[in-house]
Amino acid sequence: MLAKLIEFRSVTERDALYVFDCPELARAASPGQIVELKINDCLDPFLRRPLSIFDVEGDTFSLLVRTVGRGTEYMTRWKPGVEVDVLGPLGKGFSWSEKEETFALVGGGVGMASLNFLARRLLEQGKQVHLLFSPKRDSQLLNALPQPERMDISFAENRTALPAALNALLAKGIDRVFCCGPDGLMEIVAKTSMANNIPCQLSMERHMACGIGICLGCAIAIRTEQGLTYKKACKDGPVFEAEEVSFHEEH
Amino acid sequence: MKNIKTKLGQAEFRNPVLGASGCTGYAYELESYTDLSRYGAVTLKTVTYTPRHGNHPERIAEVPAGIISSIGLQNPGPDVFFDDTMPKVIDALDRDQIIVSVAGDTIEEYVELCCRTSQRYGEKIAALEINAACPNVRFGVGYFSRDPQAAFDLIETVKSAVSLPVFFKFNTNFENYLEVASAIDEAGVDALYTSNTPLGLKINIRTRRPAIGNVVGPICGPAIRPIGMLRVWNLYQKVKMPIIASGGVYTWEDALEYMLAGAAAVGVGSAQFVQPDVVKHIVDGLERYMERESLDSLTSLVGAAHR
Repeated sequence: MLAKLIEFRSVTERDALYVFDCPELARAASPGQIVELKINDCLDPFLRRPLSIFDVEGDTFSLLVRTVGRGTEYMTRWKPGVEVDVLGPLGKGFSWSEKEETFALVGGGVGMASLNFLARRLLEQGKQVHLLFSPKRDSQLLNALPQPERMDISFAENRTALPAALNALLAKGIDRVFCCGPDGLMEIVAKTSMANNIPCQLSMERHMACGIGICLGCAIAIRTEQGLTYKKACKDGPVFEAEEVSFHEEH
Repeated sequence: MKNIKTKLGQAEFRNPVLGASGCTGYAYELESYTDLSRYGAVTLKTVTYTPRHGNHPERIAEVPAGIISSIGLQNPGPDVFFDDTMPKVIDALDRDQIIVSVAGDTIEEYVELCCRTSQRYGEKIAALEINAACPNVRFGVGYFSRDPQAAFDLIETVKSAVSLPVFFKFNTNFENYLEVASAIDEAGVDALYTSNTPLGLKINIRTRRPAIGNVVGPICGPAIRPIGMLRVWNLYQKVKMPIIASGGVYTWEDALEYMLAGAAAVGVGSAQFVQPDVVKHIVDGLERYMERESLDSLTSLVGAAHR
């Protein structure tokens, strides 16, 4: 389907917010899901770009995108009005139970991109949202948040300071942790949450091709009762339970 | 009456555009993104004699007009494939659209997989594909694709064991691929599936390491189409059996180009990673072309560039 870019706004020197009008996608999306955008009509870049849904409001959805390579550089040249070929919403997002009331969202850098939509849904349900962001030097990214005043926001200076910051937050009585960021950061968050016996979900990232489960390119090592297996970030994830993700063991 | 039906040996398909093995999953994953009835057939993800976990990540790296991929034949093995996967495939596709692809390390393993498929699903599928393009643990990479006698013996044994149409997918990266193709032709298969995937490498300049876990991997996508074209051109001059060409097919024009070089059908691979409904567009395009050119069938165009 086609999504029309209606707003483009720089958030930091290398991050930008893209707002698209696309009622069909916006209405179907849930927090933690992704979209696959076609960058142009040419063969280079060849693949679509998988991006987390940053927010949904009415008939629009938005993406917070860091310019990291050819595809995302090309995107910065898009002007409002352009129509983009999009697949989505794709994948399995975050989940929680009605009984849970207080949530910690841990964002690592532009990993924030998948947490804002989650925060919106949680707040709509009257839940309490604590956002822990790392590293603090990237906090300018939070300028993209549409309703920061409704969350309790704290910072970790860097990854070394993260366990202590998260422990302090968990001590406030957190029902569930959600995290998205680099693998190293997510591993710390997974370990700290598990040590505190608090359920934790991680939004995993891999180089992805199809986004719909046919190429098996975006493999995530997952622990099962039968041993380690590879699951698909695009279809089985991108959100996985922290205890099932294996960060180091591989076949 | 326009007729886009395609005969490959004893097998007949509704059109000459197939979903390539390993790039089309088990087809049912695509159901909500395209009209599966427009596929000539789908060659399912190869089932190996024992389950395979696949290669460690990263498995995909983008290159200009294509990707380097190294999946490692991840599949659940025959028991799960027959019990859980095949019923879902049969729900999604018609009998004439299903090609089961098998791979083993030895002739005995290939034969057992073919026999099990035939006994359980022989009435419900169109053909078997012997995937000899895959890694071979026992005898080294591409053993059945680089040794003419091994290829001959494998085909002869499989053909005597099953009555289903058999396609042979081989790896054209070996210098003697034309010699091997002759042996395959002599052994007698219903079609030869060319696997036009030269190896490539990409370095991630941020990590300063190879971009995929397996270091090297086959290049797929339009980037390699001219290489595939030349292989099909050479094969057409060498063998009599029908050729199914794969390697960078993205549009109906690409499919037609392969047919003019000698392919009776084409396999569409990585284009589906970008456009899940690409096969439908290719078939639509070929039908429009037939209309415009007042062609009753595409058969007369197969290999036409040689004449």
